[in-house]
Amino acid sequence: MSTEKPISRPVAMSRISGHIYFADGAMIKSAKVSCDGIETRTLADGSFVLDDLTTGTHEVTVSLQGFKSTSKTVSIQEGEKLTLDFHLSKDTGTAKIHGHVYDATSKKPVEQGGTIIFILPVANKYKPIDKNGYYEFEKLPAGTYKLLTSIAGYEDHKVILTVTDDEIKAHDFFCKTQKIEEPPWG
Amino acid sequence: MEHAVLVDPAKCIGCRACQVACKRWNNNPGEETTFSNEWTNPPKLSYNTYTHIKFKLEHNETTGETKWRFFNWRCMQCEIPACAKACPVNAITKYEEGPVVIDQDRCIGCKFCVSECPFEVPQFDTVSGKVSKCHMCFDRVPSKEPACVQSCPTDALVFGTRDSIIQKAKERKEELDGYIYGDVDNKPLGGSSFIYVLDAEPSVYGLPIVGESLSPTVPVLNLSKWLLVPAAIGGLAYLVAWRKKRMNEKEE
Amino acid sequence: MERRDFLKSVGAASVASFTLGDLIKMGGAKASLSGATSEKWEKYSAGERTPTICPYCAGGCGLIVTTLGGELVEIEGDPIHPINRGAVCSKAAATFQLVTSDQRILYPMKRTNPNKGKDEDPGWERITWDEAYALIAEKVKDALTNYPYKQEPDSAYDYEGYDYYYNGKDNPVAWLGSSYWNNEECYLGRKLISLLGSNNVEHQARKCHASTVAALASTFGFGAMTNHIVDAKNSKVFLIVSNPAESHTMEFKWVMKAKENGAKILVLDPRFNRTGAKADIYVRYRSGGEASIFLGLIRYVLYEKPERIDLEFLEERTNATYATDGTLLADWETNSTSAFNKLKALVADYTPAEVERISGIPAAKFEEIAEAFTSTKPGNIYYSMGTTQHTNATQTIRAQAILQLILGNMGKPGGGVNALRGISNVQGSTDMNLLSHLIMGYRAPPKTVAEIRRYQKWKNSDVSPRGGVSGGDTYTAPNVSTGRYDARHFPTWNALEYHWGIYVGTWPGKHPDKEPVVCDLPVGIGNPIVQLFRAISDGTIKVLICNGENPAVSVANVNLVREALESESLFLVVDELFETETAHYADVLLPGSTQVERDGSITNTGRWIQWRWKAVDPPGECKQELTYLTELYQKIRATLKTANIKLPSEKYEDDTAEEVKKTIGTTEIENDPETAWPSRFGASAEGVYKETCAKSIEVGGVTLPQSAANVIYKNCYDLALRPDLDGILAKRRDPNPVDLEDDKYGYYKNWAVSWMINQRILYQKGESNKGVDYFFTWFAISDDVWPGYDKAAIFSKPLYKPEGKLDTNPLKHGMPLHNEPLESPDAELAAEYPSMWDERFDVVVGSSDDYPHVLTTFRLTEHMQAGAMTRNLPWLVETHPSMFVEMSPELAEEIGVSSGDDVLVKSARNTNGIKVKANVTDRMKPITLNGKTIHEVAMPWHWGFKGLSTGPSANELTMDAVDVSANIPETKVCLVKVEKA
Repeated sequence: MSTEKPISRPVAMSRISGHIYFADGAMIKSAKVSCDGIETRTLADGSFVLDDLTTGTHEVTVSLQGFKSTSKTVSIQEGEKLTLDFHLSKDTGTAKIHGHVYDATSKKPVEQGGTIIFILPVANKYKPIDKNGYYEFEKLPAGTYKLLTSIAGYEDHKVILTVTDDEIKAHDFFCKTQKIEEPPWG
Repeated sequence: MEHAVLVDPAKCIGCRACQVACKRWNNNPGEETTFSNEWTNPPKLSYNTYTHIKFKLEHNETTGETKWRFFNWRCMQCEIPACAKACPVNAITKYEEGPVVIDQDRCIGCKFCVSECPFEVPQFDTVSGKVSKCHMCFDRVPSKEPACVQSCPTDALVFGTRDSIIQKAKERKEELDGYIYGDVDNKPLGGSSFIYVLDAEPSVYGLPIVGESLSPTVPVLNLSKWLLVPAAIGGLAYLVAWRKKRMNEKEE
Repeated sequence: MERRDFLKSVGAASVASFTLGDLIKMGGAKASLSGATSEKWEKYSAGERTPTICPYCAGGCGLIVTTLGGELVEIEGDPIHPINRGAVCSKAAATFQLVTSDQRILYPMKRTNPNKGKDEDPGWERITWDEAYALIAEKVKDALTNYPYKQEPDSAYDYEGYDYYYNGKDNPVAWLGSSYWNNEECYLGRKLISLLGSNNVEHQARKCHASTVAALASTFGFGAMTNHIVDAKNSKVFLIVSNPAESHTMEFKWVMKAKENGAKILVLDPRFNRTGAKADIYVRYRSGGEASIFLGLIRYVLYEKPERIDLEFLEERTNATYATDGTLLADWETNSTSAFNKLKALVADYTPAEVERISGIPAAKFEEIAEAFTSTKPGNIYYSMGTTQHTNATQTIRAQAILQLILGNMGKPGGGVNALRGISNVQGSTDMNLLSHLIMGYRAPPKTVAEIRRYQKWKNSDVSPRGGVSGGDTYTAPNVSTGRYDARHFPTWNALEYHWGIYVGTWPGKHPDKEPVVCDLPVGIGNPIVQLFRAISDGTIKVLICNGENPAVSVANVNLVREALESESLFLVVDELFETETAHYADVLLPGSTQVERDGSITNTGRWIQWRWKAVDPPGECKQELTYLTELYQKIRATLKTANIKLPSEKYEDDTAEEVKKTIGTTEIENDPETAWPSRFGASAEGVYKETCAKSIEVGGVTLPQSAANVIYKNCYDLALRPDLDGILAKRRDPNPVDLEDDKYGYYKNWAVSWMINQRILYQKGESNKGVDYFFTWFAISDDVWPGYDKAAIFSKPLYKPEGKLDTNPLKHGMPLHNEPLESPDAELAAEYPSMWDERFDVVVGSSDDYPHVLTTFRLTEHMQAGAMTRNLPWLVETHPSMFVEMSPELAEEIGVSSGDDVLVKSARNTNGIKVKANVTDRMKPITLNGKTIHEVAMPWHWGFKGLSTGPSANELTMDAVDVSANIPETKVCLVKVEKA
C-alpha cells in the first residue's frame, strides 16, 4: 500500500441552472439570463445553465421584453450545482403609443378596419383599428417596440418606436393600397 | 442457352441507374471520390465498382457541334476470357449462360488476371486481398436480367438470348450506320457476352482492338495450368499440415 | 507427422477443391449456372413483394420492395408498371440506401444550445414523443394567447356585437411542407393548420410551379401538366426547355421511344446538358430570354407560316374570336379588334433578329428551331424551372400555352403544355392546397365577411343538404362574375363544414346581413413563402412547423431564410429523415418515416393518383406521419382548451351561451372537430383517402350527398366499380390497355386513377363525362359579361389593374410580353423591356457593372432538390461528391482558372461570395447578347452544410424578387461575379 499524499485536485467550477416560467407556470423560451457578465438564453422548455462560476456571491438576473426583470442573489460553494427557478410576471408601465392609420393616397383614415400587431417575444398584442382609423397601446413599460399594420387591401407597414416612462408617443401610418388581387380561380 | 447484353451508348442518357443498381444488388459500398471535371465518378472501375459510366465530351470549335457520349463500361464477359486462362487456381469460370465469374473463395489475389485482361477490368482490393469484377449477375440470369439492365430507362442495356441480341445489334448497326463490338464485325477474345453497338468507331469510346485469341504475357501459365492447380493446393495443404504438427509439438 | 497422414491431407485437399467445374473446364466444355446462387438471391427469391411509388421526382415510377421476415432485401423498379417497366434512375435505384441509411434520425430530440446558427452545435438531447408534443403544444398555446378570435364588425352591416373568426394572415403559427408526403397526410396538414386559424401555410410548390398554376389555370382552367408521362411516345416533335433526361428520367424514356419512331428533339438550354446530348437540334440561350423566344415562335407562325395556324381549333375552342370587350366576331380573322389580331399586333416586333438580341440565339438558328417545331404535329412542349422560376414566369408560360393553342396542339395525344413537376407528390400536395391562398381543391378560403354572409344565404337557398335555415334570406348573385366565384368556392366550404365538423356562416343564420359572422375557417389569405420568412424575422410568426422541407437550402436568397430561422422569437419544429440544414435550426427535431414505411396515395405530374403500400416498419422511434399528425393535433387541441383557446364557433358559444349548429330537416348536427379527426371514415390512410374522394358522408345520423372534401378528387372512389379494393381506385394495378385506342396512345385507364374523371389527357374531346373535357377559363369581361365555357384564353382578363410602365406591362394587354429579369446583364435591354416584380418588399439588386456574369442554377440526375435525401447516400455521393460551377473555357481563361480550381462566386445578396470548384467545360460557351459577349455560368443547387457531402448553397446568391401573379421567386437567374479564389 502506498503512503504518498493525494495530488491536489483542480478547483471545481460551480453551476447554476434552472427554469424560467410565466406566473401561471408555463415555460418561457429565449428569456435572457445574465450573471457576472455571462449571458445565456432559455431553451424551448424554459431551462438555462450557467457554467464555470467561481465560488462566492452571484446576482442572477432574468429579463424578457414585456416582463418585469427579476434578480436573485445567491452564494455558492466550490463545485456546487445550484438550482434556481424564476417566475416572471407581465410588466406594465406608463407609456402609450397611439395614432391613426391613413390611406397614403387619399390621406383619409382607412375605411375597412384592420389590425395593428405589436411585436413581443412570446405572444404578440393585437389591437383593432377603429372606424376612425385610430389605434392605441397603453400601459407600456419603457423600451423599444416594433409595430406592424395588417389591413386587407393595403400593404403592411412597420415601424420601430422607443418610449420612456410616462411618454405618450403618436405615430401615424400612411398605407399604400395593395396592388395584387388574387387570381379568381382561387 | 447462352444469353448476352446489348449495350447501346447512343441511347444512354448517363443517368447512372446501372451503376447504383449494381452496387445495390451486390451490396457494394459507395466510394469516396473527389470532384471530376469530366463527371466520370468513380473515375475507374474498382473492387467495389463493377460498372460505371464514362462521360466523353467532344467539341468542334469550327462548327460549334458538341457531342457528349455516355458509355457504360464493365467486364466484356469474353467467350475465351484471358483472366480465366491466367488464373492459377481456376477461380474464374466462363459459364455457358454468359457470365464470367470470379469465385471469391478460391481467389488467392495473385493478380495474374489483372495483368492479362486486355481491357484492364479485374480490380484488386488490398483489404480483402482478392480480385473482383462484374459477374453479369450470375445469381439472377438467365431467369432474371442483370440488375443494371433492369434499371436502364432508355433500353441502352438490353438482355436476351445471344442470337436475339446479335440480331438486334445488326438492326441497330444499320440504323446508326455504326459498328458492332463484341461480335459480328469484331470479336475480341472470341466475342463477348456484353456486345456494344456503337454510333462511332470503337476508338472514339476508348475500346481497344483486341484479337480473337490472346497470348498470355506469362507463358508458363498456359501449359502448366493443369499441373499447377493440384500442385498449388497440395503445397498449401502440406504447409497447413506441417504447421499443425509444429503447433502440436510446441504445446508439449 | 507420418508420411501417410501427409498424403492423406494433400490428397483430400486436392480432391476437395478440385471440383466438377475444373473437370469440365479441363474437358473444354463450359459449366452451367444451374444451382449457382448467392445470399442475396436466396433472400430475394423467398421474400415478399410490396409495391410502392418512388419518393423522388414526380414521374410516379413504380418500385417493388422485397422483404423477408421484416428485413428489407431489395428495392427495384416494378416490372409491370406502365410508366417505368422495371427501370429506375440512379436516385430511385438508391432508395434502398435511403431507407437503411445510418444517418437517419431515430428518435425525437430537443435543442440544448440556445444559440442558433450555421456554425452552432444544436446540442441535441433525446426526448420522448410525449415530451415533444407537450413542448410543441405549449408553444402553440403561448403564441395563440391573445390572438383575436373576434373582430370588429364591418361597418357596412347593421347589427350589434362582433364577428367571430381568426385572421388567416396575422396568425403567429405557420406550417411548411411537404411535397414528399402522401395525399392523406397533406390533407390533414392543411386541416390542422386551418383549425388553428392560420392560412400561413406553404410548401415546395410555391417555389417551383406556382407560376404554372397561375398561367395555365388562367389559360385553360387547370394549372397542371396537360398530358401525362407515357403520352410522350405519341409526339412527333419536342420543344424542350427543361432537362428531363436528368430531372424526370422516366419521362425521357418515352421521349426516346418517340425518337425511335422518328420524332425530333429540340432542346433550348443555356447549358449543354444530358438532355441536350440527345437533341437533334440543341440551341443555347441566355437565362431570362425565355419569353422573347416563345413570343418569337408565335410571331413566326402568325406571320411567316399562317398555314400552320389551326383556325378550326381557334374558332371552336379559344376566345381568339372575341373582341376584348366580349363581342363575338364573325370576321375575327380580319377584324383588328379580335383577340387573335390583338395578339398578332402584340408579337409583331419579336422578329428573329430581335429574339437574337434578347436571348442570344442566332437568328438563323432560331428559324431552324421554329421551322422544325411548327412544321410537325403533334408537337409537345416540356418545361420546368427554366421557365417557371422568373419574375415574368407567368407570362412566359402563357406564351407557351398560346403557341400550342394556335398550332392546335392541345387536347390531343402527343401534344400539350407539359409542366414537369418536381417532387413525387407535389401535384398531390398542391391539390390538397398546402398554400396560403387556397384551402382545398383549388378553392379559396373566405376572404371577406361579405363572402361569408353570401355563403349563409346560399346555404339558406337549399337547406337540405346545405344546412342553412329554412325561411331564411336566400341567395342572389350580385353580378355574373361574383356569382361564378361563389358557385365555385361555396360547395367546398360546405363540404369542409361537414368533413371537419366546423361552422362557417352567420349565426343564427336567418338574416345574414344583420347577424354576426361565425367562421371556423381562417379568413384572408396568408403569407406566401418569401413573405413568410420575412414575417418570421419581423416577429409576427412565432411557431413554424416544418415537415419534409428544407428551406434553409431551397429558397432564393437563402441568407434571409437562415437569418429568420436564427430569430430568438421563433420556435421551430422539424419532422425529417435526416438532420438537414433546416433541422439544424430546430428547437424540436422529430424522426419521420420513408415512403416504404407507410400507406397512402400520391399524385404524379401526370395527375395519376397511385397507392403506396407499407413494406417495412419504421426503424427506431420513427413515426408514420399520419400517426404523428393525429397525436400532434390531439395534444395541441387539449392544451389550447386549457387556455380557453378554441374555434371561433366555440368561443361564440362561450360568450353568448348559445349552441352553434347546423340543422337538416329536424336533425341537428353539432360541430365536432375532435371526432371528425382524422376523417369520417376512420383513422387509416384508406379512411382519409375516402374523406377526400367520397361523394356522400354520414354526419350526425344524416347521409349527405356532399361533394368530396377535395372536389378535384371526387371521382377517385367508386365502391361499385372495385369492391375488392374497397372502392379505392388508386390501388388499381391492371397494366393492360382497355381498348385499341388505349393501347395505341398509352392511357392505361385501368391503372390507378387520374383526376378528374380518369382522363389522362386534359381538354381532350370525346370523353364520356362532361366537365373537364372543356376548357373552363375565367373569361369575364366585366362583372356582368360572361361569354361562356369551353374557350381557352388567348386573351386573359388582367389579374389586376396595372399601374405604371403600362405599355411594357403584359397585364395591360391580357397577353404576354417579354420582360427582363430583375438583374439583367444588359442595361439597354433592361430599359426597353423593364422588369416586373412584386415591389411590396425590398430586394437587393446588383448592377451588371459589379456583377457581369449571368448565373443560372440546375439539377443533376443523381441528386434531389435540397439534397437531404441524396447527399446522405454514398451510392449517390460518389457520382457527384462536391459542389461546382460550370463555366466556358473562354471565361476560365479570362479569369485565369483551370478545371478543379477554387473560384469565388459573388452576388449582390452575398458579397463575400461562395467558394466552389470550377468545372471548365465546352458545354458552356459565351453568348452574344444585344451585340455584346456575355458569360453565363451554371451551378447545381443541391448543396448545403449538412450531410455526408457538404458545400455552399447556390441559393446564397440567388434573387428573391417574386412574380406579381404567382409570388414565385426568381431563383433561376441573377447576376454574379466569378473570380479566382
